[in-house]
Amino acid sequence: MRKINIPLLIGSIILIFIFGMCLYPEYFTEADPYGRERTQYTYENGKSTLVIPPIPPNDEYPLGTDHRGRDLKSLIIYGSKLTIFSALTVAIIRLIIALSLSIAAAYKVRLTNGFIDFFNTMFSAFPLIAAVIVLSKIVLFQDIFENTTYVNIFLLSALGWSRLAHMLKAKIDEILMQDFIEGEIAIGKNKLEIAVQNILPHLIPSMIVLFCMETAMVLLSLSQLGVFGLVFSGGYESAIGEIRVPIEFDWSSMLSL
Amino acid sequence: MIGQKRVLRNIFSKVLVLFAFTYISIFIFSIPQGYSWEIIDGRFVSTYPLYMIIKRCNNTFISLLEFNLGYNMKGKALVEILFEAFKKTALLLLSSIVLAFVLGLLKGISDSSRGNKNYASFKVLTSVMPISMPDVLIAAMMQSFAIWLIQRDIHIFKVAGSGTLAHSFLPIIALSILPAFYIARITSLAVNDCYKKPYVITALGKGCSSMRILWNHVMRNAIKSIVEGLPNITSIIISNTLIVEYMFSYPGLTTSLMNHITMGDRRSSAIIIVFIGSFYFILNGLFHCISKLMNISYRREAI
Repeated sequence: MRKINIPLLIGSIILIFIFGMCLYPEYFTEADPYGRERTQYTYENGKSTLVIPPIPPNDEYPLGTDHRGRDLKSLIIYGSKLTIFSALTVAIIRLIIALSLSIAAAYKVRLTNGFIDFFNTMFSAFPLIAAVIVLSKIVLFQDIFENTTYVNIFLLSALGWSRLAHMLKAKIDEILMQDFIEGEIAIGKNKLEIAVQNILPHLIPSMIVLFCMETAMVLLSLSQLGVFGLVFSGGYESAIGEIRVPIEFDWSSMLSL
Repeated sequence: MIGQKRVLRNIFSKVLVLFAFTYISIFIFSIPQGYSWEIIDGRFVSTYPLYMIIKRCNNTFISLLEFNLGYNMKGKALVEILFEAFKKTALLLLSSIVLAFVLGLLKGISDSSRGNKNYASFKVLTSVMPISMPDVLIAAMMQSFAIWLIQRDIHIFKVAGSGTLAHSFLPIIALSILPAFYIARITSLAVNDCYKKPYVITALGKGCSSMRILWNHVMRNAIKSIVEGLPNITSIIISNTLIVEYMFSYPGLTTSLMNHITMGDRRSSAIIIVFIGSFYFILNGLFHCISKLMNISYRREAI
């Protein structure tokens, strides 16, 4: 009998749960994430109590509320959509950039190797988070993308691909050392054909693993951005003077409150 | 002669990278927040002249080369701010690297199967799980633990701030956790590799004790791979410093950077980021030097 891969099974269940939460949040919570619990008085057994948000966990709010009186459970559930979408998008864009550059570098295309190395050094020494925080404030990006979420996705993708490219290049170098590549060259295949027909199919297992790891890395970066108060979905100032109120919910914005 | 040329070329390329890093970092901070493009008469026109940005960038670059750092927006001398912050970050980074190395080495040795496959997956899992934990969570857990201790009148750790040694404990531990488990993974793999080598099998056959095999045969060879893997942790440490210093209100370089970014003082922020980058280059250079020195000493022993 074939052995069950328990880590794979557990991981798949968690992933299905998270994707279910992203696509159908209404099935996971009844509370409205935009609804607010206002300051109110309760009168029980001759005692009046003033309830001011944040409210601690209770039957109505299993995880309590934030300081604006919003149900934390529904915020987390509704926030998963934008967070997972952003993380996956950034990881996909990084993978596309890294793959094309690493194939070029493995074929020793002029300057690509040096470019990957320099980019890797540059954004190892210059923390990516600091770069995103500084650049996201520049009006040019706001004008081009017209949405803070897209600006942040663009910056995280454009500045953070080098580590992935480094790893992919090492894998491609390994594939290019194999005997069958010499055979392909001997039968007259050009570099592009070898890249598409031979390198990519052999790279798929590594790419899947690296893509999942990259998605996790992006989520970590989002959490760091949240700590520094960068509201991923773009924030606004409410009528009562609250600053950085998120337009759409995401997990990193919840950390910035 | 060829060897000397190669060394000189290496040094030259590293210096070039350092200069390029410095210039690009300053350039990023020289772009004003209001910078954008407008279409006038069908042409893209920038709202702020590009030559002004380059001029501002060049001025900051030259003043940095002359070590004339000037003052920040609040009128404080940047040299003093940087000197104080640099000392604190250096203490934090060096202590956490030493702690991470010691902890990682011990955990890696205990994780390695050393011929015994029992609980191997579980041991690997205990090292992999902390690596996948967000540094934000680690710092928050540390602070919660310190608060829990303080509530029970145990004042070993201070939750935030600086000034005494007790203030540095938690940031050092928080910063060393991720690299420690990373080193543990490298150590475990290197030790397992060495245990498959013929000389270890021979030593086992001759009846050497397990401790003697571990320290005299395995670790002597595994340490080379471990040291070679150290440059990879430099970027992890640098990016984690940002979070750890911020969350523990530790007045180091990265806290100073975030304060200046919030203040909108872009010139001072650019200079501070260059100093943060210099830590990366110093640590990376240090790890490479140790690795090279070890290689030379092993080669001499082999001759």
